[in-house]
Amino acid sequence: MNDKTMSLALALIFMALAVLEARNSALNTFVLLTIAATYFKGAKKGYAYMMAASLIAVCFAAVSGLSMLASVINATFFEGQKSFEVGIVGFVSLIPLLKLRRGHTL
Amino acid sequence: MQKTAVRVAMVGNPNVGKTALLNAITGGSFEVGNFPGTTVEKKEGKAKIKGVEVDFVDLPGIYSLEAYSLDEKIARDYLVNEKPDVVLNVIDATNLERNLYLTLQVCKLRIPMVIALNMVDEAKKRGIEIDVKKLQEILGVPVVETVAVESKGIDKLKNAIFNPSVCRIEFENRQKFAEQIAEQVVRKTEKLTHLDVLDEVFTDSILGIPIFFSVMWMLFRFTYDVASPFVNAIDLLFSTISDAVGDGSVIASLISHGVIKGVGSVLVFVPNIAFLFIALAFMELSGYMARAAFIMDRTMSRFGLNGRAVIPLIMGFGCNVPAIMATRAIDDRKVRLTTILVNPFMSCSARLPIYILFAGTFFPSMASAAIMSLYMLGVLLALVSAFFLRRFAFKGEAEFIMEMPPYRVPKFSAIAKLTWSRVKHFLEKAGTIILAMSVVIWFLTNYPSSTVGESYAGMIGKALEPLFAPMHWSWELVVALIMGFVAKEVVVETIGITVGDLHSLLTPAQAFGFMIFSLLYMPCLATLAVIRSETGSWKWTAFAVGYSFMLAYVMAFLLTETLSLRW
Repeated sequence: MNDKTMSLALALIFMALAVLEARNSALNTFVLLTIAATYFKGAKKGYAYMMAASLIAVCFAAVSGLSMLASVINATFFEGQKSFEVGIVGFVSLIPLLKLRRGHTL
Repeated sequence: MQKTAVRVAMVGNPNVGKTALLNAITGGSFEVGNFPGTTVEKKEGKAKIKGVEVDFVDLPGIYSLEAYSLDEKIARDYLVNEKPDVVLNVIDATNLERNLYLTLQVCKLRIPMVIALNMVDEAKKRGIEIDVKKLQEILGVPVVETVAVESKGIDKLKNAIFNPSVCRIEFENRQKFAEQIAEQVVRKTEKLTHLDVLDEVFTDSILGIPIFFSVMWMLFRFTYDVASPFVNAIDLLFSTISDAVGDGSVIASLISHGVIKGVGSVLVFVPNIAFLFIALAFMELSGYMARAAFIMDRTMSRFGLNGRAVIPLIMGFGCNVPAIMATRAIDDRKVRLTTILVNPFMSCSARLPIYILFAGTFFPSMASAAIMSLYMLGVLLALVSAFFLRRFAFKGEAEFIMEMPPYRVPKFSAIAKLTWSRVKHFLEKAGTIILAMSVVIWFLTNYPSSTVGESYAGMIGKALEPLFAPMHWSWELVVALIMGFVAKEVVVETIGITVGDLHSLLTPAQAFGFMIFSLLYMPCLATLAVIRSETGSWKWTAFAVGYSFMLAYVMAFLLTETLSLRW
């Protein structure tokens, strides 16, 4: 799969995630849509946009993962409920990120 | 016999690593950043080199000695009037030519000089090679290659400080001469790093702003959601200690209900503040903060501000005091005054505990969003206020020239150092002002009667309660707001001591109104002092008090009424 096809595929994945998250949080949806839009532009313009979208997606996945962990700790030791974060799927962007960094010459 | 101290003035363009170099030489822990204008006043550090006491003075980063802005004036006045023994000129190796403009100007002062050619590692990564020997020959002063953040070249530099030379080159056109020197000593095979290509995306005219807001949202989730277990753990710790001490005697009551409950109610938010500062340090050190300033510039210019004003405004999220001092880098006085006066609307970290307490209590399922909305409202009102100030009080055009720092992967130690230096400030406040205030509040709430409603605090609150009747705030909340004038954290501290259950006092709409009022009303005492010193005017200081109170009142009333229709 070349860079542009991968970018398009990831744009569609994040678009689907945004639809899934729409009922839960408008702001999480906004971030997922921004990632999707950046991947879309990456499908047209290439490397820089794809790399930026992957970076944002991985950061968002990290924040979502840490929030999930925090909710588990809160539910176990204090008051609170465990929650699932759709954003964690963003770790999928690690694949293009690593591939791009290794394989792309500037 | 000890030799007399040597005074070394560190001079250079903004963001070339002067403070990092000062830390590397002296072992100090001054704040470093990755955007121009981190240092706006002199910083001093000492080191003993070869048995000699050396006093280093880190001057604000400047582009010339022509003294247009206040920080340039501070640097020039120091060099001209104080006459240091040695000038340590710090040069960014990735941008030699531009840095040499200042070097050549400093040469004219005929002060013995040493040059630290800093960030040579980054220059190499970018395909830039500098012939150090040749540069040394041309300028006639020692040139030492350094990487300040990794403490490389520091020993050589320390030795060179004892062998400085007076630069005696003659030239007519400074700009041309700098160009000629750069041509002779720099070899470039321009290379882009993987991070450099991101600039196109982060400053994209369409995607730049949504990306910025996405980053901000991640920052707030990191600050609130991720930090929450730490907050809960500290809360539990303080409650356990307070219960263990009990309230059997006056002293026990003072310790448990005054000191532990009061200081504890503020300290529980240390994790939130630390996480906020970690995220801000990451944005700042990576170079993204400057891009945020760039993409927001178009918006800012519509409100009469410019990109240089963005950095003090963003710094206001940490603390308004250094943020107002950072306006010294703004050379246009009218833009500077406007930026000073609107800065208190940028929500500082001291206000975060208030939002977390209220958002967590009244909007638990959307606390992060509620907090972010307050930050955004603060920014919006700062911009609108700036627009009117520029329109009616400080008319004029605002120009924008800002240098983009390079992207860097921030080092863990740099983030930790920056975060700690800021959190330390908060902890120091908890150990001094907040501790003292907790005793004052305990006294006011326990005398002349131990029933809070009949205490001095109750009397003050009840006397002023009618003023806040349109928002339906009880006298306990009024007292908290009055106490918060000393430091905003004290609002939460007072509530911790006087109020049992917030739900019994407020509806969600009224709670949101209270958060808005806390965001906007009156800058704290320290901020007012710095507004007075930086504007040099009592008139504008009084304006800052009056205007912010009026705006807070109107906004809190309007939003409480509007939101009451739903909540």
